[in-house]
Amino acid sequence: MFRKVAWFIVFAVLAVSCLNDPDCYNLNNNVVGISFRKIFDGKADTVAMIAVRADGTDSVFYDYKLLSGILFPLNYLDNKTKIYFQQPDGTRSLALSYLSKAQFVSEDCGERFVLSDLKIDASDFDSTRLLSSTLTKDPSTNIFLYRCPVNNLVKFSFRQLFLEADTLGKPLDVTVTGITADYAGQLYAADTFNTVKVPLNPAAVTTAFTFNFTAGSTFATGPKSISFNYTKSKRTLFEICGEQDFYSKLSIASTDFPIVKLVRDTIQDPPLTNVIFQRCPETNLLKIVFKVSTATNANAAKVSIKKITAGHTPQIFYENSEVSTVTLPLDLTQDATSFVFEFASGVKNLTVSYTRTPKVYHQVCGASIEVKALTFTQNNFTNITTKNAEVKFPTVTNFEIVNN
Amino acid sequence: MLPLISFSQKKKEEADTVKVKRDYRPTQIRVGTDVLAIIKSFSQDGFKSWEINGDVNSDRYFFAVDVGYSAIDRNSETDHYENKGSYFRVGGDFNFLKKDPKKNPDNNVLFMGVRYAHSKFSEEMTIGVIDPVWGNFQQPYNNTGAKANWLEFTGGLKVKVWKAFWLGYTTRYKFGLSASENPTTVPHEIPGFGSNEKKSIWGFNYQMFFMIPIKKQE
Repeated sequence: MFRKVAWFIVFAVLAVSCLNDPDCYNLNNNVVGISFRKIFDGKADTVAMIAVRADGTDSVFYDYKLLSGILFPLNYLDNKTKIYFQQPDGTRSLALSYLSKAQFVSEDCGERFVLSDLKIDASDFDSTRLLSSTLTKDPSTNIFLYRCPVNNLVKFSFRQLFLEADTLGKPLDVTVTGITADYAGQLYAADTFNTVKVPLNPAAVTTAFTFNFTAGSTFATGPKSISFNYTKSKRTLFEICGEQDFYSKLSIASTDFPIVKLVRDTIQDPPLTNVIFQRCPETNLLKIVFKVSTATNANAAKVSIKKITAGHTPQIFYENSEVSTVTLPLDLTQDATSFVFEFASGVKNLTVSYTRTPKVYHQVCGASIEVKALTFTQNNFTNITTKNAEVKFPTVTNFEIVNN
Repeated sequence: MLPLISFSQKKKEEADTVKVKRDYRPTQIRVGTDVLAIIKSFSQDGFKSWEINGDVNSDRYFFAVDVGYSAIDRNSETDHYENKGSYFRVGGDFNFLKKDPKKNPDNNVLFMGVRYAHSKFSEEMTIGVIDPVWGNFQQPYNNTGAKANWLEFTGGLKVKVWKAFWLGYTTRYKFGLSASENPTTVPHEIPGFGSNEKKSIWGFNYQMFFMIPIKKQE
């Protein structure tokens, strides 16, 4: 009898040991997946979002971002949420309704809310599609928000020209404090980019834009403007979008950008580059690398510089900085440039001599000067060698100073 | 010589094989209770439960009925939850152990079976939420007259321990849950089934029985 009872006790212990505690993480299934799409091809669209907000909360979701979709936490304490998408061209809304049911989970976890039967009640997007009314704990895309073609976005590209014959150059990052239009004020806040899309005035056939470049920007400093003339024609491409304006015959009316190329005079969606702003190569940049010698070789090493001055300019370079490389401008009006290096340990002088030959690298940049045969004629650096006797752009190491 | 041996063996086999006429008339009723439910009722705060189990035999088949009740009272940091309800299960089991005066003189039962189960219950809860995005919230919810149905595969053992006293356990694979919801709540606990988190779940009963003979076994 005791053996029989013992067996039953073993089974009872096993049964109790099978009980486990629930996982309290991520209990609500209140996240809706929203994807931005283009009506034109149904593919994902990247949109500029200033902010995503909702009724019933002060919280800001997705503060200033470029995105092609969002995961939005619905208000599970209500059966509806109205979401506001604040974009550069205006604010659109999406009103959603659903059934939110409360469920007690455990003493440790408390409650959860189970959301179901998602519906789109209203929207001022061009078109919407509910892919799935089921909300899950692992968020997926529930809603597509479509937009009609945007036909008034003119695209600018910033490019850097080099000493090579490449007439297009390479993408150049520029930093602006903002971009304004004559019809709308501020279009963009402070940003760094190498391409940017800005809307032409849909109510006129001329638009002027002003780019406010930050001080010390690689491209320019302060405001630069460009204004366009264009024509508009009305067409119905998609029934749901109705009659739309299509822009063509884009031409530059005026600009103070130094080098501007109009490469496409029609507006496309997705936008293709219409205008290229180029920056000419610099032909006077001398590059010096500081190294420290070891038993076998010499490695780049940072040095503490109080300041560097040049004989041809009052500008002070690398003031109170710690660097292993310095790039300094040569005087293109003379065959030699003198520099004074003030280190914490003392002052060193360096005079660089070179030959100057007029040369046109790019027609748009006009005549420039080719600098060759770099030599150090006067210096009190003990160990300086020439690595490249020609000024290049992008810069190459011309001199190497080794300190042992 | 060979045909003679073969004939005599056949005669012997016929003499050993006794055809027993199967009697499907019930001979006993077993009535018991789930011990784990009683232990949990005393050991766990806010939990009260009982379950009565009964079966009646028909040869190696058993007609089984379970009736139970549970009451839950739980508190989390911000919520209060109450659940009260009753349930029943009906179904049948088959005993894999044969009636055998030598090997199984007590007619112990190693069984598998099926059950249909139904539960009727009510829930009351007060939910409090502190959410940094959607704010603070407190609301009472009621879900009265809720119903649930499900099926079970059962298996287990019932062993005679002493005279009319039996011990047994039943493992249950509960599946096919269909529980009613109202527009504002989802049931948390279903009496007799357990947590509503999963639509299939394992259960376990540890039972004491008393066997009441109703007809003398032949």
